[in-house]
Amino acid sequence: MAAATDDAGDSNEMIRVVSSDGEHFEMPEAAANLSLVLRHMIEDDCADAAGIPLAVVAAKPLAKIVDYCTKHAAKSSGLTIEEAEELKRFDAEFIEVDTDMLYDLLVAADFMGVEGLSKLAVQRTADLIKGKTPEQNRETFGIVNDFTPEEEEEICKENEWAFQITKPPSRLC
Amino acid sequence: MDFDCSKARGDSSSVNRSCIATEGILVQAKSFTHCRKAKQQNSVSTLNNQKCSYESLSEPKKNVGTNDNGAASVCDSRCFTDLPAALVCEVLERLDPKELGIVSCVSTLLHTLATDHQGWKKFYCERWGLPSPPVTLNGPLVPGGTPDWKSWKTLFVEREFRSKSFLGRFSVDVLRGHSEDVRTVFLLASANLIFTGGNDSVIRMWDMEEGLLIDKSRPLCCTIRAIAADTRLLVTAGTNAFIQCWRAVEDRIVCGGEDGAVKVWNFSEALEIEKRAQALRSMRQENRMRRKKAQVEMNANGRRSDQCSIAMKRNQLKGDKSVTWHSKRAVNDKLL
Repeated sequence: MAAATDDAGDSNEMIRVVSSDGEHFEMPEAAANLSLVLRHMIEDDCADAAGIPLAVVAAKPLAKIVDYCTKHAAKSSGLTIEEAEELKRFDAEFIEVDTDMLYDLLVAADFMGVEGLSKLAVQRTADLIKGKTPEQNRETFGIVNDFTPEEEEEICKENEWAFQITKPPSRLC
Repeated sequence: MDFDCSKARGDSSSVNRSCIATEGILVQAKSFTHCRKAKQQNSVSTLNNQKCSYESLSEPKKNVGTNDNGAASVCDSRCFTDLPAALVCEVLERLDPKELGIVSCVSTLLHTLATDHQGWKKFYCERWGLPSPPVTLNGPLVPGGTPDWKSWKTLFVEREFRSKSFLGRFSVDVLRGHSEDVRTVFLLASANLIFTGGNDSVIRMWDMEEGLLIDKSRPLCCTIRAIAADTRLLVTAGTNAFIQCWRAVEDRIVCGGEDGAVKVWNFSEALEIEKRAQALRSMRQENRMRRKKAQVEMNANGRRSDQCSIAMKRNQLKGDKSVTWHSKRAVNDKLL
């Protein structure tokens, strides 16, 4: 059993979840409640000792998600400024992952309905796209250029305006 | 069952995919049989949908015939565009117009998603509001659609081209000129003008697209606190209890105020001159000008009197409204 159980303190029950590849995880109920799907399952008494099966989510991303939920559940209410800062730092570090893990987190967070994590992963992906040429984007995200040369020329022309180098603002005195 | 992330082409393995989907459903149906409520049934079906898209991520790398769910996350590098289209769109929502334009050059799928993205409507409406109803008579307006059946992207890009100033210049453009705090700003979008005024008691008129100073008033001896304008009239109010009015005549602005002065500002020509002047101005000159502000004022006055004929009543306080002005300049093109 892969243990990812930071004690949140304020929760009375541990919720067990099972990844698609059969690994079991535990997290406090408060943490599980951050996931819409898990919350509904818990409300409907589907959280039993066998654990809630999450057939879309493999062990690796699930471990991350359990981490995320546990951390955020422990710090959900009455944040001081320092705690909010710390949570921000945690998020920033948390999402420093490779693209494969990022896809896993995107899909899993979306599926499990973990809103904060969804936003975090979506923003991270968008940040990775920003400031790159199409070719660099293809490299980063493993996308195959499936335009025909004619199509590519046409589309590049159509979007030519997007490639213009930012001019410095005009100055007046 | 539909595959979320439908590819426009190159879909070599749709058969395999549907096979996985079927397996997925079977597997899922088994593990969720103990759930009774409708809500669960919903989540199960979502889950199956998701599963299909997800499984496909690993498809090129593994033997699709097996029922090995776990392999999905441990396989080799995958492709961003294999994510469900809804997720890709959510990511695209975080991009600005330029980035969206660049992304649409990456692959056919991204081209489709980025070109039809609802974000373009948002960009358009944020900047210019909803487009006015089409003046042409052909065709009813589709709810949520664009006039003339153009895509929102086309509309946005076309308009962007028309107003060159935003292109490539999303960064903040600084209008320099006021020597003290600016207290009020008025945008006259229909005429592409910005009026500003503040503690230095000078009202300045800027060209919104070029970011250039078109003209400025003489110092009005008080802090300017409010400006309102339409294409006919510019009204300003300051702390000296006077309201100043300027009337626009074609491409000139005629100023008549409580101080009894009438000015004719030929500002299309002023813009030309300002453009030329700006091209010649170097940073060194700019700094020098800042240091010697008094001298600048003189220069500026000298330049302005070239285009503005000022007839000043001798006794301002009596508020005699008789107006006199003359314009010596021929007018070439119109700005208003």
